[in-house]
Amino acid sequence: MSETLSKTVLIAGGGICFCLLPWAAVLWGEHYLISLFTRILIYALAAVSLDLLIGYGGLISLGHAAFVGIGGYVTAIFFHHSFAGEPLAGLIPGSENALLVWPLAVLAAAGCALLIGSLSLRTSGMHFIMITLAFAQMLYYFAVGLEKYGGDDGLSLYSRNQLAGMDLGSDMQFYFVCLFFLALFLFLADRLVKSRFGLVLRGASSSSRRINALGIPGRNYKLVCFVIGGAGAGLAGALLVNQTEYVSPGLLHWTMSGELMVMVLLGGLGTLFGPVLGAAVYLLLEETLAMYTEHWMVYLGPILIIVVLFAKRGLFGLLTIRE
Amino acid sequence: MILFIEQLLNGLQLGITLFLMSAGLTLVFGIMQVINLAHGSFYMIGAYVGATVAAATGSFLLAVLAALGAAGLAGMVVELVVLRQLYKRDHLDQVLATFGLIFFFNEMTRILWGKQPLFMDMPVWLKGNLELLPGLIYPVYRLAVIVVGIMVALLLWYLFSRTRLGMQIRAGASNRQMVAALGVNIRLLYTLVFGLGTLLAGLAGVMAGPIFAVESGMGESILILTFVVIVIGGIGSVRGAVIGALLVGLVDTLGRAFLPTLFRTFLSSATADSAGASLASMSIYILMAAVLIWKPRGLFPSHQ
Amino acid sequence: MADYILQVKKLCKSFGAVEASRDLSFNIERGHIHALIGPNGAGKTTVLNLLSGELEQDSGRIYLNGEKLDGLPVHKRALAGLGRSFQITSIFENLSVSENMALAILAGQGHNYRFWKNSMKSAAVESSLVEALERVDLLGSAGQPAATLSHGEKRQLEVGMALVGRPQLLMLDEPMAGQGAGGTVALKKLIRSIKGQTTILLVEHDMDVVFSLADQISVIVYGHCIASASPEEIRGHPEVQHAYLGEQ
Repeated sequence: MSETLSKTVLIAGGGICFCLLPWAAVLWGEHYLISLFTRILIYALAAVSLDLLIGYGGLISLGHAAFVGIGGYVTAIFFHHSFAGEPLAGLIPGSENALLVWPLAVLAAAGCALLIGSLSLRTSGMHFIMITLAFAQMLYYFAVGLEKYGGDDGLSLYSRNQLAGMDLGSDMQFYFVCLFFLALFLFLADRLVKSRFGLVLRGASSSSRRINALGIPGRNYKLVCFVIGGAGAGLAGALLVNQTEYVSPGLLHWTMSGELMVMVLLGGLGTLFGPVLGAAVYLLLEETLAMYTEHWMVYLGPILIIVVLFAKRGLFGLLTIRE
Repeated sequence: MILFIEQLLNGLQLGITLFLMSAGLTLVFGIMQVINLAHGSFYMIGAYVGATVAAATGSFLLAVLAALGAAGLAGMVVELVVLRQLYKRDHLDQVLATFGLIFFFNEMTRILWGKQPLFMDMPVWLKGNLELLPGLIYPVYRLAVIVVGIMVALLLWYLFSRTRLGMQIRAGASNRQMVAALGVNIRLLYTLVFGLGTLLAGLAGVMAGPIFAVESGMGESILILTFVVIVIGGIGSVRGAVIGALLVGLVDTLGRAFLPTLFRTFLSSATADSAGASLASMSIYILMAAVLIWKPRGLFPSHQ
Repeated sequence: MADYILQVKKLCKSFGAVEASRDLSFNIERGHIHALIGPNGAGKTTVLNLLSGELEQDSGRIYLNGEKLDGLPVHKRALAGLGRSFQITSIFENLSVSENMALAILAGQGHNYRFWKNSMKSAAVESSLVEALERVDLLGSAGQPAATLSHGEKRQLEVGMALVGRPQLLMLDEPMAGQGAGGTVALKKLIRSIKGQTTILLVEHDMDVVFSLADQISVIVYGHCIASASPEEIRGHPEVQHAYLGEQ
């Protein structure tokens, strides 16, 4: 079996499983599985957007969770103002309409990514890593300081957003909405990495000297990649806040960024589809191991180190046959 | 005015803590070109061991010695087992592996000491206050921290400018290959530099014990501040670490102390307090951004 | 009046107390193979970095085809006609040989903010890729990851990529370094074959190569150009002999 074929089989198989899951859950009477797998889909979206940055752009961003958080907060804030009936800053009315708010969440995250990216990309290597972490932390403190929106305690939503004629309150319907967005993002990202933009990006991540010597301003392409990744994370944030009907500064904390990185690594860096697997494995492990010991993280640490040192290609790499 | 000097001293004290954290780390970054996210864990180990020994023996000095020992030992083990594998790897591998270390150490402290924060008593002989100037009453302990910090800075200065080892370290920070080519035992040098860094981190941790709560994850909040210091000061530069640490310590402390008051002059007091506190906690990152716009490689970049 | 493609006037560059370039001046005639030689540490790579834009000079001017080159960023200078190979071969190790060459081709196709169509199927790549690979004898390795090429093949790929953009001035930084005898012969042949199409600035330590290929040689000592003339004149030049051989 060739590499491409095994990849296609794995992806198609995974897709079918995800489509069938809600029905299976209902069949088994384990309704909570739908909710768990919705979380997996959303984290997968965030992880895939991070893989674009790390695996293809060579941009080791330690603050990716900040963009998830921005998407989440924009969604929650608009909801809050709509529910309370008072407009934002006295001017902008709130809204529970997903068709309005979710694009805004994505735009806000992308906008922040543009700002943070332009500053951070003036540096590279270790500087870049530290700076992305620092900026994310800054946004975390900003969120904590938002007394009006719960500060440290966070903000609860009364219900999920309204999306056209659907009822997002139904876990089943919401699950398929999330699946749709993940599939869409994966499709677009896949085309992107194979496109001219993607080729430039992959080259720039390998040698910025050579890309500039060829006449291509590598840094600008990296910035666009950073923004696209941020946008994807922002969408994940909007969905996550809908899923839990709650937002808190914890969404922006570096530990969240760390978790996303672990998902990308476990699943397979630079594979786009691997992080989906990574998200599933990580969250399932968290669910099951937590039942046995609340200290499961103490095993995760060494496992992570071993994976980094010996199994860099992750699960996706292990499962697809190398030619 | 008195309040200003008091806050200035507080800022200096935070700056000292940050200096202790960043001096070692900036050298690890500069010489070994390894990004080590687990540096905060040694700060935490220092604090935990110090607090435990202090509670058990009642002696602060013993606590400090134990903390230094524990941090140094943990540092050597980490260097031998994990870091050695990472020197030749790219930054991504280093980030992920040291992340693994953070998870491990944080959870370990929860296993060994439980989730509740520990409290460390201030040593009796350092309790109380001193009247530095008429009307300026300042805690003795914080003064002691400042004094220790200055002594360490002087010791490091002596180490780097007068001893052979220090010269090798400085040379290593600006040209690794050359130092190795000159026959210096690079492996040993690396271990020593790393050990020095963790020792200083442990010292910072145990001294912070009586002032802050000792809890799992405490290392990471100080680590991010340390990163800001290093970015501002320049990777590989101890001089940069000093200046950066002082800048960050002062900006952060003075910001928290005076921004809410400043905001009160034109905002309602509730809004002023929260806006001021919020801006204050963001202030050092804004400072970092400003420095980056002006000097992308920090104030004192080493020429590597 | 000679047709100068490159004019370097009184370049100065210091790193702290070290003067890497002192009032450095020389000119390159169009169509020549112009060699830069000098003792180690003389500042030859610094000159290339100043020309390519990776370094900014403290003072002095650079003119390409009469147009000022100073102040332009690296990628704009490349688009203006400067091609370069580096002392340590710089290619895209994570991409295949074809992808490397395709990128070089696409670099000259305006901007690359195209997100949909497959890059390898774009018109420019499909029409020029084979020829570009053949020019440097790498058609057979097209599908290989660039990282698996031999040292010499990597150098060929790098030069091939630089040539795609039809540079007006191709700067080669110690291309023979690390090559065995076979590699050197192949590279010499390559350089001779492109001589008509582009002007070449060659920084090299291998004197056999320099004297057999160069039309003009400039000698750099302590950051300053002490002589710029034909190979015969340089051979007999007293100052050059002094610089290389010391006091006699």
